[in-house]
Amino acid sequence: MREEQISTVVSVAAVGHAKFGKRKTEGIRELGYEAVSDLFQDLNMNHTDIDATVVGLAADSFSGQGAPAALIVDEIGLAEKPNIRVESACATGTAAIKTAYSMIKGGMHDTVLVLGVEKMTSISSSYATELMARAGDLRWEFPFGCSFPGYYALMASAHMDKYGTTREMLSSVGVKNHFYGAKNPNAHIQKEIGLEEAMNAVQIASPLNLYDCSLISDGAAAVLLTKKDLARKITDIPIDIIGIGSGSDTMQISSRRSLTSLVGTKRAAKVAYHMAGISSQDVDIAEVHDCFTIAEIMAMEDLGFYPPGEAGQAILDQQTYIGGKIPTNIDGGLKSKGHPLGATGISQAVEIFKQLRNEGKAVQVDGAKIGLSHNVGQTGQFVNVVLYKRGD
Amino acid sequence: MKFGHVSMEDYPRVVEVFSENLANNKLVGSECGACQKKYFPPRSSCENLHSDMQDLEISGAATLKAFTIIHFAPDSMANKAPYVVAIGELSDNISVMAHLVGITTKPKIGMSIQLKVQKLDEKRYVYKYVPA
Repeated sequence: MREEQISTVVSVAAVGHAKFGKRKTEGIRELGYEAVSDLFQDLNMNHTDIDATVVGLAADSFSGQGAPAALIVDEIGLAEKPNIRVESACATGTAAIKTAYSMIKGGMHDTVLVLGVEKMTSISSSYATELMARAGDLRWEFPFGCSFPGYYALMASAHMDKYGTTREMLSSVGVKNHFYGAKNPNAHIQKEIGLEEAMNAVQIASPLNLYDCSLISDGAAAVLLTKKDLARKITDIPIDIIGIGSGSDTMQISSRRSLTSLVGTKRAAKVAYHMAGISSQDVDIAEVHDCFTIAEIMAMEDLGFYPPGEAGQAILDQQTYIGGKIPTNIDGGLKSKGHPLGATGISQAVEIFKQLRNEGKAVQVDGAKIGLSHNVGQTGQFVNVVLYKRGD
Repeated sequence: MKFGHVSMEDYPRVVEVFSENLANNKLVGSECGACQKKYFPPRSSCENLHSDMQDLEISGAATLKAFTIIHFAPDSMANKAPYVVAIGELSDNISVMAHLVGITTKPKIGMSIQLKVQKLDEKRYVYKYVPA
């Protein structure tokens, strides 16, 4: 029995996605509903046939609703199913996937609906900046008014000093992600930007400007996880989860030995690659956590795609576009698609699911078999790397 | 005695005592009596689960490791922007975040800086970096 449980392959059987953006007329319940109804549309099972739900929602303070996970599942008629809420800051989505994966692996449930939701635009962007700053150490770092972009700006200053990473390299990340976001109907901002425009945007926390920062968005995304044999009854092409790794870091950014990489990402990647029996060279498509442009550069190095200090030039040379070495964030990433905290890691899974099934239409990596999702909470205090493989 | 440009939490004893030390122009962290792990600012217990913490006065000499100029500040600090947030590396593997003030040209990573007590008003203190 135990051996059977351990050898259980957990697959993604179906996905759903709500439109990301400034969703003035919808609250968390409508957003969650939109992703779930998208998932079950045209599926040969009813949503009430699932065994349990895992809801990822990072911050009650944005929407004001306490116990939001209960509200959201009630809205979709699942109030009597086992439900659990997961929070790991901006890595909440992949934490929810990991939780559901572990439940299925452990034999607790067979089929679990994983739903990530966030409603962030009801408050002003300066108050949102205040709330996110409170995710730094309230006692010893918040009192200096270090904004969330400020934390990544500190890392950017160290990375630029150590490796000669340039303003142009940072901006090329945003240019790429907007190039692809412009083609994604679910993206928050469907507009391309120019390199000059990106380089000269208004300063937020130098060296980071407005176009280095991801978006404050409303949105939701959902995946249906189940045992592979059950997934085959739902779809001809299940997408298997072949590796999950996690890592973390110190709460105070000042306590870190290195400011030019995230130890949590390195650990998470190492564990995930080992579990899957692959290396970074086997990955065909990457979804990385580009909450800021410098974060994508550091991620590409920490995940093993490029040696330390070399990702910036590679991105500038368009190696991370489709046709390059490793297509990255071809759904627009957090920068252009948007970053509704709890939904982000699940949205990454949605894009990988489509790509590995060759459903990307206008934006498709031909023959992609393995996809990587990299999701970071705060400034590296929570990191999950999830590896997906086409399972037909 | 209060600590910081802004503060959100109630003041536990360790912060009260620290701020009183700042008012006396002293930068006092802590050192674990059992494993000698050093901290600045102080903690009430050590991460190795020891609780025998002793005072550790530091000199404040540091090297600039990273910095940012905050232009778009959190609500509570909006009236002070722009300001420079810096991380300096002190001795004993201790690094600390603070504002960097009194600079006339763009800061350079690797430059020598000095951590000093800053009085904000009669009841509120913080520490800051200045060029050494």
